[in-house]
Amino acid sequence: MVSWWSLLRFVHVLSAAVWVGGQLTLSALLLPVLRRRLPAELRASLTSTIGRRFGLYTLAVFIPLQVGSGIGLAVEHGVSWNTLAQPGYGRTLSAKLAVFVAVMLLSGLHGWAHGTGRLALARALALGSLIGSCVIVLLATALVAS
Amino acid sequence: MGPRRDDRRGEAAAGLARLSHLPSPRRLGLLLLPAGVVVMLFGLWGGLARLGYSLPADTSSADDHGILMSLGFLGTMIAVERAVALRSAWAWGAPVASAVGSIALVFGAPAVLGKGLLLVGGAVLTVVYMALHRVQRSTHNTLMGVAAVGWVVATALWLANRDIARLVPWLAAFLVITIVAERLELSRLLQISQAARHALVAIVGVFVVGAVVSIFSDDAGMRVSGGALIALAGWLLVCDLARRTVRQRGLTRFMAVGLLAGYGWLAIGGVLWLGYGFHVDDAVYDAQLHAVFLGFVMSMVFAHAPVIAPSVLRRPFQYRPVLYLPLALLHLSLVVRVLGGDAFSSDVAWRSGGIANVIALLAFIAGTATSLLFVRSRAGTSSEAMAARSGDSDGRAARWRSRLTSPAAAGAVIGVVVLVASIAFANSGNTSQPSSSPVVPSVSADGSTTGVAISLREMRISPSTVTVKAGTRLLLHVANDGSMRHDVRLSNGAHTPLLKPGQTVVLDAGVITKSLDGWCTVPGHRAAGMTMKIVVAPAAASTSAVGAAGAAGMAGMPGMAAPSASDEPDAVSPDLAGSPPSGWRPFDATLPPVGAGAVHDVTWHIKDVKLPVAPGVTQTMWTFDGTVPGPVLHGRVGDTFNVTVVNDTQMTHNLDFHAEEGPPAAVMTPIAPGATHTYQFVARYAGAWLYHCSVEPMLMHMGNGMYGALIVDPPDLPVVSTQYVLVGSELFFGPEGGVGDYAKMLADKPDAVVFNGFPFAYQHAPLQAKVNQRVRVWFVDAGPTRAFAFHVVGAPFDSVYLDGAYTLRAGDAAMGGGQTLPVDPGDGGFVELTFTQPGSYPFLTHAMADAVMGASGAFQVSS
Repeated sequence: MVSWWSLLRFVHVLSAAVWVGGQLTLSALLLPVLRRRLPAELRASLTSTIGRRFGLYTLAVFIPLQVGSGIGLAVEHGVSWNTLAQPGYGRTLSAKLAVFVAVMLLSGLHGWAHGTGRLALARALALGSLIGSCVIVLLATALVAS
Repeated sequence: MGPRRDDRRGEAAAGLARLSHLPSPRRLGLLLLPAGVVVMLFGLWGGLARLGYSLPADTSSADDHGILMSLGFLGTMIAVERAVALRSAWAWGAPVASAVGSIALVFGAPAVLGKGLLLVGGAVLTVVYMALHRVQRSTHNTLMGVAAVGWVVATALWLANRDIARLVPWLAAFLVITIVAERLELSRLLQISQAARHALVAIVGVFVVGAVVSIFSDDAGMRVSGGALIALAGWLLVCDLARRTVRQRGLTRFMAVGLLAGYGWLAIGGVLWLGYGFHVDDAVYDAQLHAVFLGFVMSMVFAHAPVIAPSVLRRPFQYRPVLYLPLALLHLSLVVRVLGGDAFSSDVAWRSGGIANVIALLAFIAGTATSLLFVRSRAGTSSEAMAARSGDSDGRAARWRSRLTSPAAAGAVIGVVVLVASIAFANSGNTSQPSSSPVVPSVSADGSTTGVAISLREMRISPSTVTVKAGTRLLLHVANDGSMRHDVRLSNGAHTPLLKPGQTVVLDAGVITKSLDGWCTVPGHRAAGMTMKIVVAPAAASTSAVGAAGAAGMAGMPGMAAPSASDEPDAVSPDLAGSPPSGWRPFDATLPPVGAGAVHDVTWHIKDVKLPVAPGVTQTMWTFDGTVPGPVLHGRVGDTFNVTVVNDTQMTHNLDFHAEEGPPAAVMTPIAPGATHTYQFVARYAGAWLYHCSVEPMLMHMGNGMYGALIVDPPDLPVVSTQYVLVGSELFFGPEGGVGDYAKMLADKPDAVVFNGFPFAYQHAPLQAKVNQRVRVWFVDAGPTRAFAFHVVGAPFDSVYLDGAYTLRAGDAAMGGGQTLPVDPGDGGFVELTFTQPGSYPFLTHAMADAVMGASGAFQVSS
């Protein structure tokens, strides 16, 4: 049954899909092509522009939307600080929140590393962040089941 | 040493350069290294749990600590190294199986799966050695194959449910023989004589014989293998080139230092194995295992990692002297652990050494990773590292690849760590019964918390009963005072880790709402009597019922030596009716005359006094002015009493006069230790009144002697020739010389029932009376729990006064007589009687069991 709550969950899932999907598309599809087809200077300016826009979108739209809808869903589900520590749903959710924070940090560090020319570090952080995003999706799937 | 390693690879090394242009299994296989590190982290986690650190995420890592470290971590690493050496994809089956099997164990998959995969890993590794044997025959390869068989046998025995402690010789066979063979291989340049080579094979043979013997006799096998370990250490010291290379500089010297320190530990381990034989779960076991597996094996890993890691990863390795720090920490912390913790039983040394062991391993992993990731320049790299790279035919391609692969590998490591940590946390705790939450509530209903000391010994838990009021949060301060390992598990699921002798932990039993059972889970100990109970005090006592052992619960009672918590048994009188000790004098039962005037001033001291309370039993009684019962007060209706009380004890007490009026909080003022207070009251009513201490737990204070009689004469009380006062009470013996047993008081199980503080006091010293002279006997029941039926054998009462009124008076027209004075606890009265003939007249409580327990005396009537 589609209720207002399911609409909120829809927004939460869709927004996450856009962000993780964007991350995957950029690093798995776009960047390898750019790396092969474009000269180094052009590639650098293009990737940093894309990165900056993605970062801006993350800060201005994605994080507020995820946190806001996430809090709403938590309230609807009766989550409290106490229940976050309980085994099962509580711990899965708190693990998911912790990984979310970690992924946001890794992404931010990735932007900083890329901007300051630490390309190897930037790549490592990007991959870590990408796997982290997949872990969030995995934990979210586990939440629905429990 | 680098060139030697490349020589060894021979054909394989050349082939690898070709293979590296293809998506080789090697690339994927190297992902097993972080997996091995993750298994190590779980192994260390389990090690910390074994050290008694209370950790979240209840996994099986503590039980499987030894397997995770030896096979899960080191086995996987060794198998990866061999798979790199042999260019066949199937060789990766060994590390894959052991890594997956270990992770399955950590995450609680069916044990047979994890054990089975580890067995497969060992079997594949054995086949890898056989394949390498065909490429290049050598003693060291054969020895490594023998070592891999040790892995197989260990896991096969484990699959057959043999205890991990009994697999130790086989696990050691795998690691120790592998390492010795590695040293043999690296010592080729030293031109080891044929005789030395044969000696080594013979020593390894003896070790394997010991391992085989251990299957049938753990003790004998352990000793044989221990002898072989000593010989091995000697062989390594003599034949290894470390003795020479320690004089060189840089990485070479670092390695030599690590090797020599490791050989020292191998010798120590061998001595412990040979000298002590088979031990399990005690200090000897801890030392036997960690001398060999930490002191020798891990030191070898530290020494070889700077050579093996770059050749396996084909990355340069930047040696930095800072690597000495984890090496030094490993050995120093192991000395602290084995010498301080195991030899001298210092729990602090054992635990701090153990945690420093863990820090040393983690620091070394971090140092190795740093040395691999951050390399200053080509010129700055060590010769070994450059040699490791020389296997690549195309230097530029190698650099390009390392630039590409290293960030990816680092990113993958970040991702895997996030994945494993988050799932470990999400799946932690017991999720099988989410409805009946096993989470112990952490805050009690009224917020009160009680701490009780619990002592574990062979084979009992003391105190065996802890009584708390419902809703109290109970913290058990558990100390293992025995000589074996013990733990405590409660029926609500709360439990301590396994405690070494001397170790202590605080167990949060949670908020106690119902009675719980507790026991030691070490097999056999529960049946042998290591059980306890946590009992919820009955509601009637709930105002301040406290633990029988409740040192912390006995608020304001620091002097109370936690009666039931004592390990000493309660005192027992050999014969309650036997002769009193010499120097004993009965409490003077004669009613003191009423003092002059209408105001009575007295001063008492509350004191803890050691008193004989029965033949053969002395107890520390809590007394008003040194006697049990306390002094008798005597006055008339309307008199004023000023009772000044000095508290000479370490505990708060007070006085509750039943004849007194006013709110208890206002008039029954508590007297702090050392303080003085004057209780003042006017006796408005006549009667035989009880006074007592009413500080909680009142039962304890009254059961330990704090009571007495206040006699207020009714108006127009006829004058009689003789008046006596008897205070009836029960005694509860604690340990000899100690205070009374609160558990007995709670259970209404006195050791003696007495008139005026001593069983059969007035049989030993009969009360005197004259024929045809009226005797008045005042009787007060101090309890704490039992009622009395005062009766004089051979002399009916002609007057009975109870509850402020005569129920029978002399000369009454109805011609009635009395036979018992029934007095409830906290009540009193008197009887009058006249003896018509001389002789001995027993008196007693007609509750006969109580009379047998001492509530019996006699009048000696003379003419």
